[in-house]
Amino acid sequence: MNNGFYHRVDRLYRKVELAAIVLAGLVILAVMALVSTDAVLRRGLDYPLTFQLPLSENYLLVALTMLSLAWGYRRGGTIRVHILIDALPRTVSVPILRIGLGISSIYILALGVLAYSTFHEALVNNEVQMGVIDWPVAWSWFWIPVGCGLLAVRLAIEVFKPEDELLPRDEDVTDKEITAE
Amino acid sequence: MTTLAGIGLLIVLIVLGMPIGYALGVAGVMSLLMIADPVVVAGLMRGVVHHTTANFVILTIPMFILMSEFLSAGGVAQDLMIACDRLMRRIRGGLAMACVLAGAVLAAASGSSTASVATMIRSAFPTMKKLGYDPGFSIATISMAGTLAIMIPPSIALVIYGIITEESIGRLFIAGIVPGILTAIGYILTILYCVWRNPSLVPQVSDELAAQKQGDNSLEQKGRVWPVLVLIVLVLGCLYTGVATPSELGALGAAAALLMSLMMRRISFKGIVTAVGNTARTTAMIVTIIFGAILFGYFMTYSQVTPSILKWISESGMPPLAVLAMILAFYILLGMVMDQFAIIVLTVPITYAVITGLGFDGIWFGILIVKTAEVGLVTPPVGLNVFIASSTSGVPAGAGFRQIAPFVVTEIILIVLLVAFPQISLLLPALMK
Repeated sequence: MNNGFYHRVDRLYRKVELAAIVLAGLVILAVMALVSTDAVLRRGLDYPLTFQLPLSENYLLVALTMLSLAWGYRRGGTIRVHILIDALPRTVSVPILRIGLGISSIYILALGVLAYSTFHEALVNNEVQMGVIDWPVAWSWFWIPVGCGLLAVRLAIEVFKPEDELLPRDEDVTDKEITAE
Repeated sequence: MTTLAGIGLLIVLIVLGMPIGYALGVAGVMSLLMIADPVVVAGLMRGVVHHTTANFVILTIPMFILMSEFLSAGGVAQDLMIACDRLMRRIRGGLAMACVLAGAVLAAASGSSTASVATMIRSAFPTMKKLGYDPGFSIATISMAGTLAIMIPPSIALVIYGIITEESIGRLFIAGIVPGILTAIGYILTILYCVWRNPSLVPQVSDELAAQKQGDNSLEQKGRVWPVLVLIVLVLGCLYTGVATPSELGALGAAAALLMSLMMRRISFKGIVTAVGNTARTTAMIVTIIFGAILFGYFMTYSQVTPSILKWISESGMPPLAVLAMILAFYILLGMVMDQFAIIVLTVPITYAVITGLGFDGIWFGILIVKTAEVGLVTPPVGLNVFIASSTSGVPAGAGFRQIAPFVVTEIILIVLLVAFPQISLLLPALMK
């Protein structure tokens, strides 16, 4: 993938990630409001919102974490150890990073595909979790293939990232900092 | 042999720069495939993400992060720093001590030490520099003050420990209060000692007061701090009395922090968007690590590592306290080269089982682990807090690391005290309703 093509794909995909994170943000605020309201009503007025726990736990929490994955990764939401990578020559470290990203993408994709099979089964069999309200199981699982799929694609795109963006040179970082200042 | 291969693969992937969450998952899956039926492995992989995310306890993470983000976005944290300075300014080195006090109060409103350091370095460092505080000493004290956030509740590190070990997060939070306060007192005493040993580290009190009178001080409080203090007291009080669960308190705390910032007109729409975005990013990162760790944990369970270690310890005749001391020393060394969250998810499934298997208390062990993590946050080569303070202030990290040594000694003394007197951590949880 040449740099121009990579940047076009990246720009386009950022819009998809942005849509997902906006939805995740709204879900975060919704779950905050819902859980707070339930806690106040339950403790203060002895009038709990009985639907709060299954709705928050099985749907909103899954959605907010899954929809944040791809955008969160792109915005630096990862922990990695750099010591060896920084010490290796770039001709070695860059391919290693690309292979690592490729393997990570396959791993996340596998999680998404396997979760999709559960979603599909639950949807076809019309499975429900019984309670005061019958909660459809499939829509709790729906967010996992979506979130894992988004992240797997992001990781796959990152495999083709230009070398200097994948592993910034020290002088590049300094230049950027100076420009920012 | 398979166990060693699995652990070796994990170490190789981590060292080769793969993000730790994915390295855990990939190593877990590959290692499981060596010892279990592929259908079983697929079954474990199929359920792991849902099992991790559809869990009400996980809500504690985004909600407490959101509370802290709203308070930071509203600039309340900076005002806290300034109010603490008013309390301490008549003591030599008072501004450094104010950083520790503010760090302790901020810790009670935030679970993130990096956020705490970033806030304090921006609000206090320019003034410390202007008043003549030694730059290395300034970033060292601010970096240390930031570590309080992972001990004093609500601590995200304790939430992760609680999720992995299934210990009560409420009890873990309460257990962190006294050690957190003791740590803050220890840091203040260390500052006094450093100033006594080397008075040139800080200006004379008279010079400091004169500079402040002349307006040569950029510390200017823009709002009231008591609403934040009320919020902190309410959150801790509700935790202690068991009025609400930690997840509910996180949500209530976040909602209260947002309302407070809106009512005080201290947060913009952009600030809310940034706070929510930061929350989503951190939550995604932690959740990815947790489900990777769970997959790797399945491998450890299948390979019977923990029972083998316990058997080896009992056969070796090693006293339990010696085992504990070795584990804590290992954590301190690991903390010097690895991130604290990663250490907890990587090692706790084994060490927790070993320590509780030897008859020690799981909550007490959680507090000890977090205490060792504090050391890792300020010691080279990783020393995240010092690097954050250094990059924001422009002071070389080496200058900060040189001034850290007395604080690390204090930390070691505190760890010894916590080991010798478990009641320091366990008294409050025992009194909980």
